[in-house]
Formats: sequence, C-alpha cells, structure tokens
Amino acid sequence: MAQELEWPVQAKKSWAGQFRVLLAGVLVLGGLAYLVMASLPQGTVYYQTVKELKAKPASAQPVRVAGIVASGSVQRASAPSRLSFDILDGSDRLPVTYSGVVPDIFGPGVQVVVEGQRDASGVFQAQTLLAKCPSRFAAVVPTPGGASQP
Amino acid sequence: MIVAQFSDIGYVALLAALLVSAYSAVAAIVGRRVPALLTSAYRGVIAVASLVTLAALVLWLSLLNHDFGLRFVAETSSRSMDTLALLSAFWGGQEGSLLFWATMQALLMVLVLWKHRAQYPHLMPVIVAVLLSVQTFFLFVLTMVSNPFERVPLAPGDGRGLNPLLLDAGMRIHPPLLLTGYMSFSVPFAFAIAALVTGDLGRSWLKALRGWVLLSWAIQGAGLLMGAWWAYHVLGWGGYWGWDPVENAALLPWLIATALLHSIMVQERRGMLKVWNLGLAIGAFVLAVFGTFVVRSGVISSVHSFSLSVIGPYFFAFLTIVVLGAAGLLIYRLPSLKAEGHFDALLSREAGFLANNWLLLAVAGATFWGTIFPLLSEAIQGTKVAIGPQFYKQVNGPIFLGLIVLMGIGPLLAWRRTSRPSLLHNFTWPVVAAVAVTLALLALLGFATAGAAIAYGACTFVLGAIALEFARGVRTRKRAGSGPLRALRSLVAANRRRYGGYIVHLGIVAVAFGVIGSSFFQQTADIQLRPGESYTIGRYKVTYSGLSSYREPGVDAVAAALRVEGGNTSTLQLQAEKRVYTNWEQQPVTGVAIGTTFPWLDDVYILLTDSSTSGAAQVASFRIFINPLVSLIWFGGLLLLAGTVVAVWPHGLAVRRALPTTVPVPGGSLADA
Repeated sequence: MAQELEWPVQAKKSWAGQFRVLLAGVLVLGGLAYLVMASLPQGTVYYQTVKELKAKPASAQPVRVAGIVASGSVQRASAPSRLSFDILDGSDRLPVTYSGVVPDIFGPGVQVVVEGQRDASGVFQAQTLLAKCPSRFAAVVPTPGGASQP
Repeated sequence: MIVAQFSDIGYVALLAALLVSAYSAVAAIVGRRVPALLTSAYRGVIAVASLVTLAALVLWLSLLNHDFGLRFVAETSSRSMDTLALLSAFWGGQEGSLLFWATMQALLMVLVLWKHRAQYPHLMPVIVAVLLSVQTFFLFVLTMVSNPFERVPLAPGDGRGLNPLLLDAGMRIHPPLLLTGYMSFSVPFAFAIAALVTGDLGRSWLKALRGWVLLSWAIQGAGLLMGAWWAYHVLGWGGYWGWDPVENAALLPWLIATALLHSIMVQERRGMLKVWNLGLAIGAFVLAVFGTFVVRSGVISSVHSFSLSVIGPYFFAFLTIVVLGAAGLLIYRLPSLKAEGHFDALLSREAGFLANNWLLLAVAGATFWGTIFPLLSEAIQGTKVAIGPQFYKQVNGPIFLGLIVLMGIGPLLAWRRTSRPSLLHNFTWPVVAAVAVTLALLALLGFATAGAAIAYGACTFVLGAIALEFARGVRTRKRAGSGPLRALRSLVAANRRRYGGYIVHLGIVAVAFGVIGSSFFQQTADIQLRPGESYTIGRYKVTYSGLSSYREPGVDAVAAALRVEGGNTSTLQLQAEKRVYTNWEQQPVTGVAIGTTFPWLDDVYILLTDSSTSGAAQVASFRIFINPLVSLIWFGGLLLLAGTVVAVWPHGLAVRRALPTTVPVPGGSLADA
C-alpha cells in the first residue's frame, strides 16, 4: 500500500539488478547442491540380503533386510515388551528382535523389512519393522522405532 | 456359448469412448481449418464424457450388486461391506483408480469446453485435442492393459474385501481427491500446449490459466491434507507425513503449482518469465501423471504397497512423448517468448516471486531426487537403498524456512524496486517481533532447539507483516467512516485476490506452527500399566482404568479406558482400541486415542500395543506420544481452503485488470495480489 517508487523507472536494462538476481540464483543452487550432498549419506539406508549381512562382521551402520517371517518363530515377551522372530530369505535364516509398535498385519508368512544392526551374537536388532502384504493392494503401516518421525 | 453380462456394458462403453476420443482428438486438430469437423470434435467430447461416466456407473453398480465374476469386484469388495464402503472400493485398486481418473478428466473436459469455447475460439481446438489425447491414453490403458471389467471364469462366492485400514472416512475422501487433483493438472497443460501450438503467447488466456492452476492446487492440497489426516488418525504411528515415495509423488505437482501461481503474476504484470511459466504448467502435469503412475505401479517400494503391475511401460512411453513433445514446442517458440520487461533490482516484487520459485523448485528437485534415487541406484550401481525421512528433513527443512521468510517479505515489496523508507515502514515491527520471539524461545527452551526458535521467529515475522497489512487497510477504511468489521469486509471484498492470498499465507503459517511443534517437541514413551496405575509424560498424567471388549459385525474389539490429567486442562477421557477384523484374516487394526488439550494444543496420542484379557490382571502396553500443535495443521488446512475461496470469488476477479508493463504504477502494490 505504502510503497513509493523513488526512482524514475528506466527503460534500459539495469545490469547491476540482473547480475544480483543471477548471483542470488547461483547461491540458491549451490546451497541446494550442498544440502543434498551433505544429507544423502545420513538419509540413505542400504538393503542387504541375509547372506550378505552374515558375510560381514557386526557393524553399527544400520541396514535394511527383507524376508518372510518364519512360521513358528514368533515369540512375544512382555515387560519389557519384546518381539523376536526369524526371517527367511530363500534358505537363509536371520533371528531378529524388536521392541516397539508392531504393524497390524505382522504375522508368520508376512513379508517384512527390518532396519537395524546385527549384534555380535548374530541377532539382528531391529529399530524399525515394516510389513508388506505383497499379494494384494493394501496400505502397510510403518512403525518408526525410536524418536519417531512426525 | 457366450452369455453377455451386465458388466460388459461398461467394457463396450470404454471401447466406444476410446474410438470416439481418438477420432475427436484428430478431428479437433484438423478442425482448425475445417469447421464442420470441429463441431463434430466438440460433440465427441460430450460423447466421451457420457460413455466413460456410463462405464463408471456400471462398475459402481457391479460393486453394489456383488458381481464377483468381475476380478476387480472380487479383489476389492466383499459381502460384509456396507454401501459406502462398496462405493469407495471403486478406488481400492488400480483399474478402478484409473477409471476414476479418466471419468473425472472427461467431465472436466466438458466443463472447460463449456466455459471457454466462446472466449478462446482460436485456442479451444488445441486445448480439446490435448485433453482428448490424454483421455485416449487412459482409455487405451483401461481397455487393453488394466481392464476393470475383466471377468474370471468362475465367480467366487465372496470377494476378498478391502483392507480394514482403508475402511475409514478419510480413505473415502482422500484417494478420489488426489486422483481428481492429479487429472486436473491436464487443463493448465492443455492451455500451455495450445498457446505454444497457436503462437498466441500474449496474456489473453493467463487469467483462465491461473484459475485452473488454482483449482488444481486447491484440490491437490486438500487431498494431501486429507492423506496426512488419515495417516495420523488411522495408521497409528504418531505422525502424519513420512516422506514416503507415494506421498512425495503427490507433493511434487502441488509444489510446482504453488510456484506457478506466484510466477504467473510476474507475467501478468511485467510480461516476464514466459518460458518459465509454460515450463511449470507442463512440468506440473508430467509430475501429476508420474504421481498417478507411482501410486498405482509399485515401481518404487513404498509403504503404500500396491502390487506391481504391467502398466509401467505404457506410462513411461506416454511421459516420454509428453516431455519430448512439449520441450520441442517450447524450443520452437522460444524466439517469440522474449520477456517484455526485465529485473531492475533484487528488492522488487518480481525478484521476490523468482526467489520463491527457486526455493519451491529446490524442494521439488530434492524431493524428486530422493524419491527416484533408489531406482537409479539399483539400475546403475545394483545396490538397493532406501532414502529415509532424515534426508528430506535436512534438505527441505532449511528451504521451507527460507520460503516462510519470503512469504513475509514478498507481498510487501513493490514492483520493479522497493525504496528504503518503504522497507523500514513495512518491516521494522515484524522484524522486532520476530527477533523478540526467537530470543524468548532460546531463553526459555535452550539452544538444543535453536532451529525451532528460529523457525517460530520466521513465522512471527510473517504473522506480523500480514497483521500490519490488515491493520493499515482497516485503518484507512475506518477513517472513511465505517466500523472496523465492516472496514475489514470491504477491504477484503475490494481486493479478494490479495487478501485471499494473505489468508492462504496465514494457513501456511498455521501448518508450519504445527509441523515445527511436532517435529521438535514430540515426546514418546512405551509403557506397561496395570489398571489404576498412572504414568507421567511431559505435563500430563495418564491413568489406565481397565479393559473392556465389544463385538460388532466382523469386528472383535478390545478397548482400554484412559484418563489424561494435568497441564491445567480439563480431564480427558480417552479410549485406545485394538480391533480385530474377523473377515480379513484376523487382521488387527489399532484404534488410536487422540485428545487435544487446551490451551496447550498438545495432542495426547495413545496406542494400545498389547493387552492380556485372560486373567484378572488386565495388564496393557501402550505407546504414548505427546504431539504438540498438530491440530493447527488441520486448522491451517481449513484456512488454506477459505483463502482460496475468497481469492476465486467471482466478483473479485471481475474487478481486476492487468496493467500495461511499460507504465510505472504509482502506489505500488494496490491492485495486485
């Protein structure tokens, strides 16, 4: 409302203005590139097969492993509530423990993706448990483990 | 012996629509020289819309009649579902979703033709041809690849039904809204192509384009918010947005549309950014088709795990044709797309809009990159990766902060150049308020949450700038002799686009308050309680009183009664449930207990994770979240819609006139949004 035009509007190009706008653009692009490059490593989680995981020593770097929950392997312990089960990836078997909210469709025979680390004893400590229902259309519930994502 | 089935009417209607649509698309182009053909093409639009609507009605009736001989009906519905659930099973699978997309697009085509036929006689043939080509592609997919009317040899006695997670009010509204939003981006796209093909690159159609972009933006925005609301209230993981590929794909066209809504004003006023705007209109449509495809194809592994399907190559081919064709046209017309004006200064309205566009595109670019990175990584390096929410938070968080600050600055800058006195006049108080809020929050909450303090400071700045605008406007009108409320009303009515925009900005700030609050200050606890025991989290005491169970048709439910006290608020009675759907493989569904406290606006969000009904103990496990300010997100969503309605209210649009760029406008921003 209250802006005034102090300067007479010039018909010719103001190179200084153009240059500043361009410079701002370059800064924005550079900043974005830096942000992406700096954030990609923290945001990236690698998928590994059970075989690949077992071939490597225990590491603190979280990875994702996919498999099918082996029937008869699911055990729930309360206080503190803890879930343990084995996942099958072909003929490879991986014991997993998890505490947190269990997806509603979790159960034996369900395809799951676990995210976490394998400890020294060979048990996979999952912080996240995702369940998939591959046979049909279904929304699947993510359950972030620790401090969760809003 | 072949027996014709009722559902065959649907398939025949789709086939007929495909033929009419393909014919009319060609006729419309040829009709630019042969008027008789043009008339037949326009009639073809009506015919296609009628035929596709007929097909949709047939599918709905087949769902209602439990025609399980149809594979689609058998897979998405069952006898135990009520009428509303059966109706929404329409978009419970890929085939129905695509049919819904096509139906809505066909109806929209009729609307566009009816509204603009007389207004833009020279553009209309191309607009219709483009819309019909898009329609033809979807009809091709629907009849040849992903047929909703496919029959199975032996009809099962009952269908599989819809996943109980989807049997919810939010799920009834959210998918059709998003599908409608996606398809509506075809209209701005058609306008852009029509402008490029006809060479009418003036500003005659800019207003219409802006109107359609605003419509798409509003529908898509409402769809996104409904999706967030559903995730928060039904999925039960304590959040509303997970940066999941499907969510990202829906966000992308909305971000581009947001950019376009702003940059289009620069073209209206200064005749600049012409190529940019056409590119955005095209890009939004490409991303909308990409979104439709990602949702329904399973190409990117997502929590919305739709089964992998065969439609991928067709969508890829379609997108390639669209991108190459549009880019070719743009390059061909490049010489006639020269800007009429140029940037004079960094502190000008047009530079503000440009910065807004850069940041919005930066968010879109980073989000797109994160979404397709797993695909690229697997294709090129052979390593399977997942990009987590952390990536998006770190990249998009700071950019969003920049956008919020710009939202306060931009509307108060003058076109061409802003003078120093005007800067001081407009920004002194908002900046003082922002700094004060930031410092106060730093003192109160410490440096660990400095990000939140800065972000809330930025929000305060925007609120201050908008409040100052309203206050000054009202004061001027009050001086003219009307009361404050009346002054406010006449102020808004005199310039609906501008004040509608401010209301939208207020809505965005409300959403930002909620997002910042819940991102920085969420508290979580996993606990186990016996009846009568309590747990204290934050300023609240949560007491568990006991379990009860009840039964509904198809549902066995266990409910835990909870009481929330503390924080100087009235006591909340909540009920966290675990419902087992006996018709759907005994799948349990969490019934989240959510209570909002006043005046703190904390959501106390409780999940019943485990319970033992056997024995008298009734021990139950809970996960408790304290999610501050989340209700402001839903409130902000309502403000967004309200602001949009104010902005498009017909009277306000009629008053506006585009101003010639060569004439400097004294008084700066009076007439623009």
